[in-house]
Amino acid sequence: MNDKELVSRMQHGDMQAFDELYERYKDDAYRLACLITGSRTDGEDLAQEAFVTCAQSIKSLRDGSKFRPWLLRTLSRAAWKYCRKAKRETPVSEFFDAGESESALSAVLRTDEQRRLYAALDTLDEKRRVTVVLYYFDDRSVREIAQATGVTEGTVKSRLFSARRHLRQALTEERKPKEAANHG
Amino acid sequence: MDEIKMEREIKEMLHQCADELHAPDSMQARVKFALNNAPARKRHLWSKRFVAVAAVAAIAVTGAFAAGGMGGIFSKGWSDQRLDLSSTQAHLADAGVALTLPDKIGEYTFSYGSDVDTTAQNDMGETEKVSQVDATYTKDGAKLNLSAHKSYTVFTEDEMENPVPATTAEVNGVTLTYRNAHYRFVPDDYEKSDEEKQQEKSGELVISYYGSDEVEDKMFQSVLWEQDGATYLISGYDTGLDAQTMFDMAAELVK
Repeated sequence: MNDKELVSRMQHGDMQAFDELYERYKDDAYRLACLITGSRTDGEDLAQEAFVTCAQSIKSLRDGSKFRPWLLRTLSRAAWKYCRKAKRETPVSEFFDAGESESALSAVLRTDEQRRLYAALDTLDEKRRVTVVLYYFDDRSVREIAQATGVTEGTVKSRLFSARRHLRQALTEERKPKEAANHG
Repeated sequence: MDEIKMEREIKEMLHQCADELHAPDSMQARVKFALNNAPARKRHLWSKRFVAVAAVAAIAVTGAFAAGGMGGIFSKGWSDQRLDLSSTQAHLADAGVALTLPDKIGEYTFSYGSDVDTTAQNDMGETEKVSQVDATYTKDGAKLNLSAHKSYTVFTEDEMENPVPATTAEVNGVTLTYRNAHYRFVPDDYEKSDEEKQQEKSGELVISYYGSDEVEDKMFQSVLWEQDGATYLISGYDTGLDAQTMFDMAAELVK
């Protein structure tokens, strides 16, 4: 059964259809939420909130085949609001810190370059990190990000530009001591 | 690292991290619990919309207004725009509103018109851009505002619900809704008392955190109607206009 049919069933009160949609997209939602918030705990909260919001508002979804983008857009809006508060109980470092934990995400990264990039991403402020995640992970267009975060397309472009520059600088600075050592 | 390679690395890095993430089993139970125990969701958008309209008219600069929660209506006006009657009429037509503007509403005389760009956003984040035209009428310095725009389509009935008590009347098959709402404009750091929270719930009071450095109370009289896919609002602060007077004003336009 496709999403459109499941949404239609949900709109007629069939919550088993919701369970099916949940199973299909729980990981997509959870992953995006974790990357945006920088926390597994907050990611779970946000993904949960997005599913609940969508379930409660399912009647307003006119095109059931768009359930997935609708869910993820709802989630990123909620996450954006959350990030703007900047009062997270769990620091970003829980997620991005290489740390000692087996669950640290950087453990799965294959190259030093990626690990450095990961650490650099951690130093971005929330606005730019959210923009980077939506753009590079979720493949959102500048326009979609502007709509999701409530800013102009120019602001999104500026944040992307600034984030890239910041990441490049961070990588360059990381590399300098090694290069100096190699040449010393 | 060149730009293209760095972009590729960012993408790969994020995807590698995400691939290791799987929604915990507890999440589904939490979703179900939340759905089973959620209170009925009620949003009161109209009262906030009124403030948006009023705020734009009052401060007449670029302004933004967001209702509580995710949804709201964001409005932007221009401080120096002063359209004459015929230009305002033309702008109304451009906005898709079929209304012949009168040069007088009751005892109020047309003063000037202006454009207001609005973006409506519902709880789900769906947005809709609507062009609104405002016409300001005056009488001895007192102002009355007529605003008109194509009706929003993104909001649910819950979102449109307004708790402020209303009086209605029918004119030519069109329902006119009059409200006399108590607005309290407060500074950003204002904390609502328990009594105020109760009053808000019952519709006795609307607290606005927009555009005021001190606590200021005003009564906001309005009459609202929808006709042929457009929404109209005649409104003003502390006008003292009662329901019947405003119904008579609106009836002149509903002909």
